[in-house]
Amino acid sequence: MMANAMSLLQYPAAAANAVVLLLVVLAIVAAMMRMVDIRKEL
Amino acid sequence: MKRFSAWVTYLQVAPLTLVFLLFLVVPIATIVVVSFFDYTTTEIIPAFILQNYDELLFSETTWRTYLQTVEFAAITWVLTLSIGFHARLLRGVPCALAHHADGAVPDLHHSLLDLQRHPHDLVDPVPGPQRPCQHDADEPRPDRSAAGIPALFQFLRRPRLRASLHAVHGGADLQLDDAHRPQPARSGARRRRLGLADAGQCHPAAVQARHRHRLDLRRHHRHGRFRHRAHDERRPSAPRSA
Repeated sequence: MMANAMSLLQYPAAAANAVVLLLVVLAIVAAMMRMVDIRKEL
Repeated sequence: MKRFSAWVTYLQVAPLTLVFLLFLVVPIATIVVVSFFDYTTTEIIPAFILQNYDELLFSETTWRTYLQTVEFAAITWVLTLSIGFHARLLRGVPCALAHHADGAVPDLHHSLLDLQRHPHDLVDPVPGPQRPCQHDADEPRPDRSAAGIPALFQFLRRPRLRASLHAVHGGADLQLDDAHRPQPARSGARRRRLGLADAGQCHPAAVQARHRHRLDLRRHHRHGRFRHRAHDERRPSAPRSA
């Protein structure tokens, strides 16, 4: 979808998609960090 | 001096910080900024509009795409989990016992010390009562879950089991009765090969006894055998294996 938007020179739309996906990834990582204590596991 | 060391710390951190800023923070900031721009078919117009997010989040295509991604991730997760942990999920399928290899010996072999054995009891052939985890000799198939192993080895063109990489049998002779107990190298031939010099190093008393050093046999108070050299003595406390 992002590649599609970029090939049509719709960079702002692709950037918005990227920001949304980045926020999702950060949210998932934050949730995992809350569930698992990495320092304890090492 | 303290200020100087603080500067050194910043100097050490600086290169990675620069790389980080240049190749991670700046691009991401650019993407965030551009995501608010307006655009037409031919140009990108600097602005601050939320239309991009509006079109993205309220379009059915977006959510179908995200759902597809989640679906692929779930399939991958199930496959990797079942392949990686098939020993736990599918019991009976042979697999490497990596967690047993370095573990404690009793876990694997149920070894037990024959503490009830009398030290002077050299003729008693009656074995003690067997524990439930010990297999009988006449049992045709001691471990049901291991029954498929020979077929697997045949399939892998490896005719028989190989010796263990780990010295897990270090203390196994403690389980055996006298007839089967592996003898240390204390045979007559070896004793004859022992010169006076060797014996003198290990056993100072042997030098004084001259040619009679072989008679310097001592009764050890723990077991009913004779001892020739100092290090032939069996350690009374449990397994030697590391």
